[in-house]
Amino acid sequence: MRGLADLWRSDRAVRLAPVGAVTCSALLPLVQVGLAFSYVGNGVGTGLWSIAATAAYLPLHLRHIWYAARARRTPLGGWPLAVMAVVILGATPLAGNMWPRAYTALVVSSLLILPAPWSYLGCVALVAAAAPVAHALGLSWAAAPWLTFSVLCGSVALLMLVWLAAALTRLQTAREALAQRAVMQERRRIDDDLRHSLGSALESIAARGDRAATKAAGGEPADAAQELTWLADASRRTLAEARRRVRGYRQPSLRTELETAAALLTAAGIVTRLDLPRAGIPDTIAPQQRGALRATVTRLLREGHTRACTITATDLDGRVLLEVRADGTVETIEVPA
Amino acid sequence: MIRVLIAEDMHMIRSALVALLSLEDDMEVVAEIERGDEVLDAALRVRPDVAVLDIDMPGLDGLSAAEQLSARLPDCRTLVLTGLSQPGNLLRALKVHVKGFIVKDAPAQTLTDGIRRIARGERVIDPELVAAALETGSSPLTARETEVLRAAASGIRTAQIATQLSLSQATVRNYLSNAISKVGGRNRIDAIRISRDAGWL
Repeated sequence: MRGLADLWRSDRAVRLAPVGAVTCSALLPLVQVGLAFSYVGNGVGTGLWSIAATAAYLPLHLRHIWYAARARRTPLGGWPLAVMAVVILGATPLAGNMWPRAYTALVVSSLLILPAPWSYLGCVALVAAAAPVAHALGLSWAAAPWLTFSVLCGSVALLMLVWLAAALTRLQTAREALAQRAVMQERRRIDDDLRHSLGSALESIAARGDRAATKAAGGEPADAAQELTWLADASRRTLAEARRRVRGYRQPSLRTELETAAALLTAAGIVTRLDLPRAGIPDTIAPQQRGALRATVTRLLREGHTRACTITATDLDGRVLLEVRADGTVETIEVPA
Repeated sequence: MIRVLIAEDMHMIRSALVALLSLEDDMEVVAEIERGDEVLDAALRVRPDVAVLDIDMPGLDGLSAAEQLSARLPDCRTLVLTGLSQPGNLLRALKVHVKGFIVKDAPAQTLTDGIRRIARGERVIDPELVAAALETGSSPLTARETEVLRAAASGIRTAQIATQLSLSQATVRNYLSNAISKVGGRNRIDAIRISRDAGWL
């Protein structure tokens, strides 16, 4: 199920959907050709006419389906549709009494190419004509209405397939547009964030630097030294702030963080065990709890005497309780859902 | 008196470090080294209490030099000066028994305090580095993949990597392909860059 879900979510499903729609659209006419040979009242002649007519109209029909299934307008679609209509309607008296089933392709292509309301009118006329035409070609009144039903259902099924493929393509396009917009917004947010915080701090540092230079040049070394001391402190504070902000932009998963913590502690010679619940743990961890976890890991790394450590994550109705047990001491961090 | 060995390839920074530590009453700089591959010999000669090593040095990187010191001179405690740009190095540093891991732009007081605490047997690790290491995550590469990617980073061809590591060329290509996919790189160069930035190489 997971594999199927992954496939469905993946771009491959979007790429394959138009191919599926075209394949299904090609299958129905091929069945039609078979019926033109074998159905009661038909023969080799009707079968051959059916093959010839299908070979003439099917590529044009599939072209319409291919473009529509990819949510694109068919270039110069009107003339191929006219040719299709001539071929299908012209082959009607020659290709056997089951040929009106081929009207399905004409109905679908009309709906895809012609504007409303002409497309609807044409489709209603074709569907309604299927049974009388078949009867006129020798099909009994008991069987002919089924042909109308077949044309109607076949058209609806194919149109649904095309619509689904086109909808998938449109969804994919919309998703990409949304992702691009999200990236742009995030860039703008980071830009504003940096301009308001680090930008002003750097401007202040530059101003202090200028002042220190002026004082040094003006023969006030004590004041210049004071300014430079402040400048060094402010630079360090700004650097720390920049790092904090960069850390805030990154969102590593809680699992990655716990696994890395265990790896660091193990590398430091502390025998570390990581117990995670089978049900899984939240993807992210709030900054406050993340800070607490990092402080604990840093403390354990700095302490030389710790020999063993167990990090346990327990699922409590959506919340996760992190318990860091090291040589008898226990530290608990609650991660909200 | 704490006997300190300093290994730093940049002359000005090395001189500044020496001048800084010379101001401390309880410290004495017993050796100044500019190449990583000279650290062990110098340490065996002068027997320092603490070796302050830069992480990037010609000849041998600071962590490899620390590994050699840990194996040959276990009484000498090492402090590595690093940047925040390669947080994955912390894991490697802990594995090779580095006692101190401090960012290069920390205040001078942090370095002198760090040397004293390391000399007392404590471990000194910058919390910023721990945070950065936890963010980056541990290396997704296996030891062999790391080895092959490191060899590729030196610019040699697949055939030469294969000869150097006693592998077939197809195996080298497999390892490289796995490494590229694991670190999310677009190609070999990208994988090397990502792994270097994370400190996994």
